[in-house]
Amino acid sequence: MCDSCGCDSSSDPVTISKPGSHFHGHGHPHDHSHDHDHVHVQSRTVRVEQDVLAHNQAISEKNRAYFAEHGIFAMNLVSSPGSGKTTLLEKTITDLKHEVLMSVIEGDQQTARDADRIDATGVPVVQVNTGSGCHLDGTMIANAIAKLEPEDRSVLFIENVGNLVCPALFDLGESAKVVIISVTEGEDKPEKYPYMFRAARLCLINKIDLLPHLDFDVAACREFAARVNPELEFIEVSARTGEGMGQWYAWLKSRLPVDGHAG
Amino acid sequence: MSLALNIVDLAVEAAEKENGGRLSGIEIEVGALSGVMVDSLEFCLEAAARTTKAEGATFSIVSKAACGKCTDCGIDFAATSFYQHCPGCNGIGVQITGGRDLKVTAITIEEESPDV
Ligand SMILES: [Zn+2]
Repeated sequence: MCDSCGCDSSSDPVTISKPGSHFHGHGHPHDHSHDHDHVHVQSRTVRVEQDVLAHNQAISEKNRAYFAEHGIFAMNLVSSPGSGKTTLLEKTITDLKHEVLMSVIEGDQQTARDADRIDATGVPVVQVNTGSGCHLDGTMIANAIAKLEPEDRSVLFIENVGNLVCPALFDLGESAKVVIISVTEGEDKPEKYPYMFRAARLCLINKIDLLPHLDFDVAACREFAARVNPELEFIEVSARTGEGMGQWYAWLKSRLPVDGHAG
Repeated sequence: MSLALNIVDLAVEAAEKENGGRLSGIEIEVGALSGVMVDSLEFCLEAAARTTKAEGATFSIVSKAACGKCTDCGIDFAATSFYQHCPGCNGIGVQITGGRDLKVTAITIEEESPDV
């Protein structure tokens, strides 16, 4: 998956590689045989049956229970790089901060640039650097919550690492995944990344102010996405001009606990 | 990449529980609807295994077909996507019953020997 997600293998082998004396691999990554009948005399094969995602899932369920207990509506915001996710988040916070209690967990591979932008809006934010990791996981969120201490009955935005592949596989305990695509991307995104569109509850189609200059077909995009997830909702927005943002705020507020919020 | 790291961790942990020897083989089951791309995973695994007890191990990736069950007519069938109609009654009451997993299913450990 690293090939497609931008985090990718090209950096990792360089940084973690330290071939040991017994390394008998070959230069070609794909050069392995697919059976191991030729095992050494001293080898022993043991059945293990370990679910790879089970550990993450267990921690994320704890996060989910925590959010439920505190009336926190946690949104996992996912997108490819360049979708305008941080700008959309900034605008949302600026517009709603007097009505809704909000806080943010910012996921990024290396920098704190996005977290600094959120910090400037005045809401509490915690930065998680994933290093070479291409997504956030349950443990990172658990640690971030401990630091952030989001208020009861608030909205927690989790800005995931820009990547539509791996974040789809890792539950964080969130209440909803919101996938953001912009009209500068291909309308076939949902077909290329079906897992993410399947996992998401809402799709924000951003930068619609640019539509007159592009040949992005909104209807086709929605159709592709509806094919993988018939229940997916769509809102077309422009974080730059504010168009459609009211609808997004209405969606967001409708998710808040009924007895919550001063607003 | 982190999936590959998780897989190597799980395998190394399992090996520790056995006899702590080096791993020469890891078998992984990838469900057809797990969302995991086998090609990329293979590539990452080799890198993820470096400097661990699984360095140089052979990874066998076993694909597992997905299956669905129709809640209308009750038949089981091979599923190819999350949203497909029942091949029996063409209904849409379809549940995916298998093929979503990503698992480490077996490990091959080198028994300790004096010349290592
Ligand atoms: Zn049927």
